[in-house]
Amino acid sequence: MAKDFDPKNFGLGKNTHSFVNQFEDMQISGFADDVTNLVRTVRKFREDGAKTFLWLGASQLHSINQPNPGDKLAVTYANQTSTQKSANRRYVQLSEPNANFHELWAMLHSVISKTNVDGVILGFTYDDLNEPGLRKSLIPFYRASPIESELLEEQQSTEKSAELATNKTPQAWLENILVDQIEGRLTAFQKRGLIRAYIEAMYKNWIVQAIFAVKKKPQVKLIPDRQKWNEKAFTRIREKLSEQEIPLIVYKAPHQPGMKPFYHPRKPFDHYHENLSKTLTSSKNSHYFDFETIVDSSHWGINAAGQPDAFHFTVVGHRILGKAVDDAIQKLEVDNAL
Amino acid sequence: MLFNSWGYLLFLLICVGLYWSLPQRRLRIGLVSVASIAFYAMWRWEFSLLVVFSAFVDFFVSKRIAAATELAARKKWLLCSLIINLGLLIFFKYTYFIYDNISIIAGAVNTSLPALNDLGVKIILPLGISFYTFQTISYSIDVYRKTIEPLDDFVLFTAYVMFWPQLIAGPILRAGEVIPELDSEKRFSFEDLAEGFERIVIGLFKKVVFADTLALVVDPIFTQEAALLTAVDVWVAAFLFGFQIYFDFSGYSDVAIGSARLLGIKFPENFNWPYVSNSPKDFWGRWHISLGSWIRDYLYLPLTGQKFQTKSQGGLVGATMDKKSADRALFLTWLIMGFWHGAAWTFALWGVYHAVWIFAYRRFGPLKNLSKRVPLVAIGLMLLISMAGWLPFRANSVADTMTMFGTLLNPFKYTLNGHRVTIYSYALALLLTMGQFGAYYLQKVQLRDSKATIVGLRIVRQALMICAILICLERVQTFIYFQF
Repeated sequence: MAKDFDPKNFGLGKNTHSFVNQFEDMQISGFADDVTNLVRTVRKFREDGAKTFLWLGASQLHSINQPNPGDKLAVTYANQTSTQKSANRRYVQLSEPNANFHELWAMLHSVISKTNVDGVILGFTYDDLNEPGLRKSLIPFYRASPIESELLEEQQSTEKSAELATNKTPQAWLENILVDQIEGRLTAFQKRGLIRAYIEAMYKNWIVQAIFAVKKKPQVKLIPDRQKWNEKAFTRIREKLSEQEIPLIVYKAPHQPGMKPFYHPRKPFDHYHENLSKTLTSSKNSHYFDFETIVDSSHWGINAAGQPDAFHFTVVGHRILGKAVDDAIQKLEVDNAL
Repeated sequence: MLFNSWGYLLFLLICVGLYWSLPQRRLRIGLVSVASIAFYAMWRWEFSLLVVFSAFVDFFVSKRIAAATELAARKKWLLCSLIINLGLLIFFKYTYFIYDNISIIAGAVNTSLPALNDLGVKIILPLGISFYTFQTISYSIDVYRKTIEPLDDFVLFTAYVMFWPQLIAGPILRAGEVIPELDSEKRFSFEDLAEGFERIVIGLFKKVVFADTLALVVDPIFTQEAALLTAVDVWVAAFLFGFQIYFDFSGYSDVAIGSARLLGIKFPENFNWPYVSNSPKDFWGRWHISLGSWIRDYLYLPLTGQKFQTKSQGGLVGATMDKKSADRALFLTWLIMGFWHGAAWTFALWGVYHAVWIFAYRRFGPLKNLSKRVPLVAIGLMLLISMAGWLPFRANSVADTMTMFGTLLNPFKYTLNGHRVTIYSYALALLLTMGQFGAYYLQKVQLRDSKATIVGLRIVRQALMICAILICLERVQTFIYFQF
């Protein structure tokens, strides 16, 4: 195992790595742990008079396939594009691998509860509707949000195994104290989630391949309960932004064109985005762009199983996506839609 | 209190330390009583009073039964115990179910009943009520049958009923088995300590590493629309849940057995490789043995007019089948077994499913002799029967269960096209099945060559298991059997 092994990178696939970028000496991208730095950046950009957009999404935003020194993320190229146009738009990105909408909600809340933003950009992958749970680093932000208890209870009822009310018992209270203490003193125990992620990735990419010699990635269908659970959080995001009159720009995340088989069954995927597009374009202050095929199939990575990667692209893809986002925002400004 | 928690390890450490440092047997029994009440109160303290009340009823009633000289009076007091114990169980566990069914019937005649919650009724199911109710009932019945003498010591009786290792999810043990163990003079033994510790590690490994991980795979499968699953999907779902519930419950039993052993108390086994069974009879002699034995002695054998046994071993087996009344008893017993597991028609269906297979194996020659003629085929067939049997147990409704059974019986559904369960789950089901047989074989070899078992190897095995437990241990994961 490599010394600097990080399961997050393992999950991204072969030769795909995650990055954090700076722009004008300010941190402009990061993970949930970086919220404080990113809030500082947003404040600074806004103080300088720039319209600042918070860009939320999953691993596609923070990872580059086959990176070379000097390669940057889409968020940097979006900022560069804006600068080249002498426009005063700035972008700050917050992302987590396999982020679901509850996590996106938590990330959004972590920023907008501390500073204003001029718009929120959301990379909608569809697969994110299938993602369960809430990672630990985001729980403090989630708890701080006004909808915490209701959604947290829904999360528990979605995951059916824990049917008895074991929360809010003396045992839960004691357990939280003990686990916090042990995690604080034992780094290895604190990192157990990462170790599990590594084992899972190893199982999926090596053991299963060895048993079945799988040549193609299986198609994944949305799990109805989980989809509803995530959609509820997406609705909350929209309501919150609408309430604060912050524009929401949703884009259909780039997907490797012509990939066979497609990661999800094509029909429900297209149908969902069609409806989403209609809903958003007919709502005040929200917009939808289709970026599915903007990155040519030659600029994508290979996943850990040695198969074409549906979500992660090379630096060329980042350049294209960054430019596409800034062009889209510029168009909305020209149309006075922002 | 949950076994798979840091809190329990701390509790255990304190209790075991105190237990062996107390000089007298009486003090130790007192400690077990107090610790058991504290153990239960860590869930909800108010419900620990309910368990104490239930214990008090049977303590009092059993003395009355023993004191009564006439059969009618003995019967009256026994009935009193049954009404109170079963009344509590029915109230807490079945009120919603009964009311919902009445509402459905009322709806059929155009009468609408409000939901119980809308009437301000909110009933919380006390943890382990099905287990401790059966335990207290069996005590009163044993006194009635004169197989045991009633206790004069309420503290000892409380220690028996509430003994924390078996309070919440069994094993369901008889007074004649546990009370002499609790009440005996014991000397500290490193062997007990080592055996107990090893058993706890094995139990936690099963629960935390296997059962909790499998839950993450199984739960999403059962939220899918049943009609869209292929037959292979359904088999994978059944196998994965079958392994999940096995690891969950047998893991719990292992921790219970290990915890008692730390106090020098030996519990009988509750599981014995159920998935290598060659017939339903064999399976129910290996799965949840203490419950099967309880049902056998306090329900099935009395219904068939046969002589009961006095030990929580052997399971639900051993009866003649040449009477129609025995057939009726079989189905009635299994219906009750089903409802004991949960207040839903899916559990009743689960019970009937097993009754049908037991009936078939007893009545039809080819099945009856299968294990003798082709043992491997018998084991394979029984594995499929037992795994398919978990579908009603886990499915969300009777309709879903019937859809899944229909899929299994439809040859056109045996396809890999359009599967909704991932290939990773397929692989997992296969690995677990192979692993189960491999582990069984290895254990047989180990038992045969027990002298050659190296202590160092056991220590390494435990160390690896502890590492795996630490990697997988999360804050609160309940046991499936807690809901029963």
